[in-house]
Amino acid sequence: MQKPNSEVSGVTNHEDADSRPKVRRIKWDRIAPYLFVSPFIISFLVFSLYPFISAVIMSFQQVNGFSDVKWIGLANYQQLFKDGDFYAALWNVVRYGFWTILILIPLPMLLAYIMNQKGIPFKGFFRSVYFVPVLTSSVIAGLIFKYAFSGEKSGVFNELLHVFGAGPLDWLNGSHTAMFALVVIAVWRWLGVNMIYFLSGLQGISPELYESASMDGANSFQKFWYVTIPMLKPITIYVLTISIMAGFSLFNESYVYWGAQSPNNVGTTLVTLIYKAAFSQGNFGYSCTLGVALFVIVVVVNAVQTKAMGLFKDEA
Amino acid sequence: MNQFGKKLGLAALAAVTMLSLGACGNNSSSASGKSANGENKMTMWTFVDAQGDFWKDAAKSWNKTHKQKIDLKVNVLPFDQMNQKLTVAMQSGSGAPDLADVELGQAATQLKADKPPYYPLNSALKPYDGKLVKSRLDNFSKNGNVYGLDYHVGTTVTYYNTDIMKQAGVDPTSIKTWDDYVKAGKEVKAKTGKWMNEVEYSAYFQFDSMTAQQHADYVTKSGKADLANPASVRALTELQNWVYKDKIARPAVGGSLDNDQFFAEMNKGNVASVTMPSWYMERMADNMPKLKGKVAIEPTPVFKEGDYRSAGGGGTGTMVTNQAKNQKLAAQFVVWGKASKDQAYKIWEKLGFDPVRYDIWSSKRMKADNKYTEYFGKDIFDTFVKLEPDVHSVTKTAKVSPALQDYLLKNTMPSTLLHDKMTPKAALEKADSSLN
Repeated sequence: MQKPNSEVSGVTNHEDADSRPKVRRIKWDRIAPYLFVSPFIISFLVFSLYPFISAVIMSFQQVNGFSDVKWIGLANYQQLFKDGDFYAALWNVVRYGFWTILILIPLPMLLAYIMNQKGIPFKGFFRSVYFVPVLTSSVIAGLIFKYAFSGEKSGVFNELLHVFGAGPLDWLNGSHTAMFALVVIAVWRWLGVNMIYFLSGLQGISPELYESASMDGANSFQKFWYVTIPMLKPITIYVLTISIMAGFSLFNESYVYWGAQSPNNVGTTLVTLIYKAAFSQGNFGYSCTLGVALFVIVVVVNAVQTKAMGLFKDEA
Repeated sequence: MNQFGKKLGLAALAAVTMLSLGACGNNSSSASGKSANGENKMTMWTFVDAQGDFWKDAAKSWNKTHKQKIDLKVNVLPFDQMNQKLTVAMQSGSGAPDLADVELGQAATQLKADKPPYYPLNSALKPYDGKLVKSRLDNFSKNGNVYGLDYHVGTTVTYYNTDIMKQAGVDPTSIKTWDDYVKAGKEVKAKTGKWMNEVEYSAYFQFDSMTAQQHADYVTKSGKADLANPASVRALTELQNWVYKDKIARPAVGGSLDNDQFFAEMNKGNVASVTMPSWYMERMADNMPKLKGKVAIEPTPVFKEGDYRSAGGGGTGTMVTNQAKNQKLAAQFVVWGKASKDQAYKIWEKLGFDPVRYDIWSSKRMKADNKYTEYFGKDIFDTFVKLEPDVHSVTKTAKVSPALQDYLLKNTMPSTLLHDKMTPKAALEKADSSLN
């Protein structure tokens, strides 16, 4: 860290001529930066790092009820590798991540591109309409979708199917339809947010690039493909990264749809398992093991993804 | 800014930082001591508004008749949130309330340790020996200690929609066995097109009660899962047959009989009967206004002569945590609050539950007007009194219970009742082998 410049911080040392011995003086301007970041550092240490380390430690323990703690080495991890629910949950979140990324990157990008064109009517209105869902509580939205996905003929989505002469489907009880229900709510909720990200990215693209592309004879599609998409790469990487993390940490929507137990694990997620192990089974050790596994998986996936997209290469 | 002002500013900032961090700690321990006027401060967590009000009222009544006064502060939290907070507080050893309402399903987790961090109610219960339904105490017991006192017995009965039964020409009082029930169900289906019942697959009240009815349990004395016992297999087979063989029922809307979608279904008059514990009266009175005066409460049908005609279902115990300041007083208050005569009446009058203290069941006061007697008629407890000796439950608080319940809900029930993928015997055997 650079030594704080006393000129910049507006403090002059004219009191140095004081008769008091120099050694006793506290150099406030050196300490000040640390003090100012201390709220974050302290809360990070207390609320993030400490729980993280104790969770890793706990993942090697059997916590039986409350006071009864036993060191069991790798037994929890052995259980993890044999746990069918873990694989079911992992498969669910991978599928969920795949579908949300497949939809929630190209679609918002396209929408943002359209919204960014000149001469589109009601721009502000549409931007808000797309953005509003994220302001709702995921639990309340989940409840509404739960009723909409009711297996009854009168459920909203079954009514829709009926128009096409299909259905009714028991949405929340089948593996594929349950995934569909989860992806629909994610798309509804996050489309607007991702669109805003891409919009901000688009506004950072210099119009001159488009102008010179036009002069070279590029059509709209070529401009989109060869100018917009490459220029949006940093934003795309960001959206992809947070989408992957959001996918792996999926919980609220699943919990609202099914609670902690979904029939044949159609909606079980990794966080559902963590929650269930801790709070409905009192198995804190195993719960921490699942948490550590989730951490490792997310780190590996994100590392691979950023590497593959050449994120580190650019900075080197 | 001069030097002094700057120092002051930094000191203030540091102070704010420390304070804001300090504020995150839970200071409930300081709230559990004595208040200025010598009252014993107590905090309580519950997840039902009405239960919170019940205890506030109980504290008032207690203070009228007891020397040691209690200043009770009640926090009503959503069910999941309360359970999480309580679990964390008990786990970390600080921040727990003096008293907590713990639902039976969660009790297994709270009582999992060999020495649960709760205060035994045994000595406080002594004066009420023989006046309380014992099976309800067993639910919250561990190694001979009783850690929670339930609000209710949860006497399981069968509720019939009398309009539908009349249309089908079946007299509910004539239904004695499950075979009779199926026969009646076929009549109902044929004459009215309505379902006789809907079968839960994300809950197991009926499965539990049918098992208990046959004098059986699905947890062995040594604490192992024994789901494939003949009684449970028979119970699950019966439920599966209703849906896939006899076609008198379908998998319940919303997965259980205790959710808004099913309430609407029942209220519309699409279902002829349900078999649920006594607290279902409250659900009906509050959520099914159209059925007022059209519901008959009858003993649960049996598989064979000699089986129990009821069972105990669900439950919530009030427990005293080991973090309570005055544990003995808290225990006395909890037991008095539910087991003393006047309080037991209030459990019926205010909460609509059949109190664990059953010697009052046949008293006149239980027939007085309230929203339940208006809805179901005045002789509710005439039926309950007859069934009291038949109230038994399956074990819910063994070490294996949380995993067992989880397994039932995510695998066994869906693959036998929601879908016809497995035979009950195979499904239950698979459950046992994965649990033990």
